[in-house]
Amino acid sequence: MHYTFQFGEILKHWPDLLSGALVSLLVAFIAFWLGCLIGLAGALAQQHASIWLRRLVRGYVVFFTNTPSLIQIFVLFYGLPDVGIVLSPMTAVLIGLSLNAGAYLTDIMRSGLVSVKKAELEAAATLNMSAWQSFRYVTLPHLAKTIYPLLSNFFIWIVLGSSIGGLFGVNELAGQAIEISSTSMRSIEAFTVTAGIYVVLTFIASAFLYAVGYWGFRVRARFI
Amino acid sequence: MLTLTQQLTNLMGAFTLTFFLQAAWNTLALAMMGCSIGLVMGFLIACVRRTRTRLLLPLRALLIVLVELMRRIPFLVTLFLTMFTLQGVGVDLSFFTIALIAVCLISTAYLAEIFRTGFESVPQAQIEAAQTLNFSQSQLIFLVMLPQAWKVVLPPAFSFMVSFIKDTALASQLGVVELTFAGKILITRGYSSFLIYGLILLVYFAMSYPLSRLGARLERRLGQPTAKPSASFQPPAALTAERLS
Amino acid sequence: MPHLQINDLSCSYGNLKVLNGVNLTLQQGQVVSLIGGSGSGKSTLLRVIMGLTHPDTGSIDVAEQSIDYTSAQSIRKAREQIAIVFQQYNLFHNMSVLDNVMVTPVKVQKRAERQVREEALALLAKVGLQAKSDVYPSELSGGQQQRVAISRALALHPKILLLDEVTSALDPELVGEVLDTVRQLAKDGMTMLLVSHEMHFVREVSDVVAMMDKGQIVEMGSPDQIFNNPQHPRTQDFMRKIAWH
Repeated sequence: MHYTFQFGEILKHWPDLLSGALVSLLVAFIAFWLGCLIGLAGALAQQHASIWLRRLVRGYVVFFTNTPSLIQIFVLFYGLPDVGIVLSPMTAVLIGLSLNAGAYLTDIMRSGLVSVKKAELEAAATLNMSAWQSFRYVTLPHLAKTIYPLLSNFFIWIVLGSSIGGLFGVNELAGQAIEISSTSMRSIEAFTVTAGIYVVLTFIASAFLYAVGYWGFRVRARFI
Repeated sequence: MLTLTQQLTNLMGAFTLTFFLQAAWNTLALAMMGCSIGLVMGFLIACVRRTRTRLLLPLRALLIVLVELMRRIPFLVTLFLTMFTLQGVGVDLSFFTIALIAVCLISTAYLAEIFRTGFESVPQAQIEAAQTLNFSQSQLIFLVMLPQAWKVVLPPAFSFMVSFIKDTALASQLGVVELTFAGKILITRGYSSFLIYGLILLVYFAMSYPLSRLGARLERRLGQPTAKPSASFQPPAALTAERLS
Repeated sequence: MPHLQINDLSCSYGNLKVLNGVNLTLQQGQVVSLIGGSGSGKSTLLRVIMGLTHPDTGSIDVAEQSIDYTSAQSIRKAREQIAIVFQQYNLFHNMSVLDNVMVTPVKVQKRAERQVREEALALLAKVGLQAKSDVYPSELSGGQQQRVAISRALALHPKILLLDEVTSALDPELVGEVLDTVRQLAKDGMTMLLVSHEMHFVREVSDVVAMMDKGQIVEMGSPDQIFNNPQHPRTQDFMRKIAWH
């Protein structure tokens, strides 16, 4: 094998890689929270709304969880211009990831809502709590605690999924790797370093979320 | 760009249809072959992880590290890394083969974890009974553990494999002529992106949805007592299966 | 030649010393019972004999061959001569009753299947369960499962049988059928080491009774001596506490 490794070539791009990592986290963060809003709305709709809204939400969930997020973003980025809507790469990626996340999160939220014991809700009702109060003081805390491990895992998954942005020119970590790989011609090193950064990134995120869960929510899940 | 009617008539033509079907078949083949190999390798890794001899400690440590790494690197990065490494070493493989290797690596890691969880679900008492009866390691695994663990392994393994069909879309970036790549080619021929990608979404849906329903039914039949989110909630399930246990 | 000899055996779990210098000899055809409170080390002693737990110091000789706990071969050899019946029966959930009894002689001891089948059916008939040979453990009562477990142990043609509180997990009305089986084994001259809370039974069937406390055998003698004339304060205390008419 006639190939000498030159990691130095790659490591001198460390500011780009660092900013890429931060952009990845940012993209994941935004997509996650938007997804949570969509998911919560969807889950509530599936519990309480009319049959047609329920079917709509179910259709949305089923469609977005059975199709690749890559193609979903392709439709947004390459397809929409055909009907006159042009989105920037970042916008398309964010919308795509959020819609995708929202579908999965609808399921997660729904499982959490279902687990809120009917008794607790009835107790809240006897205490004359309004629907909003009952939601805020009974459902939401229980929900948060039950699904926290699932949400943490899902966030990590989105961080990894944000790598798709690189294919659209978004300057998150994978995008930086592609860029560096083509300019420096040191592809193996570029992607190895990037892989390493993703591992570190997810470890830090896992550790952070675990700590938050442990101290904030008193959730004892396994870390590894 | 061709007019809409032109596009629709062309799409219905034999050539395009066969092209599409061939590409869809490649997608399925990539996912299923890769995950099948991953299933066997994942099983072997889980078996090795169960051994206790000091002799195999370096191997066990290596496998744990590799599995954890593969599960924390995005599929896209793994795909690219595999491609560049193989090309760098000088082997001349088709894009399909390169993608297949990457799929094998990824699925092995995830399925190894699923098997590990499955093995851990077998009560220690069953294992001790087998040990006192002088079962060898392989007799223990094949006569006692696997028959009892497969019910815990099959639902998440199946849903993982089904969800991988979607992930093969990334292989289009390597140049593999699977469904997404086929779509790109058609677009360069003048078809509307919106139409083509919309169509491709439907094809992926047609492949994934029936299988994921099957997986959900499987899960119900095998009567999993833990109320985890439904089987439609896929890739993270592979993460959650072991993190919540 | 003593069948089993335990010499100054000590064993600890972390900081807790579970066995603290145990000495015991089991002659051929003898039935020795271990009694004592929880945590006295009775079950641990049986686990060490079966190689499920390793001792810190001391040794165990099976037919005058010392067990080398660092050698898997040596532990296997010891297990060829000793069989254990667990408190929780530990039948293999994934096998029928007959398969449970047959699996070890056929797969591990490599004996001819036809002969093993005849023997297995005879053993099951002896405990009155021949009709249930194709049934799965989950469909049997505790007492039935325990009797199958005893058959499974006997199918190995062991020289020594260990019985670890075999009736403690059973509903009271099922205890009798299992004790009948053990009583018959004693009559047939099987060398047995018994751990039990059933004091009447212990008194009836044992040649020697050993009282254990805090990991040591504090007193040992004939059933008459131990139950009617205990010398050690701990034994006296124990006898006072158990409902003894």
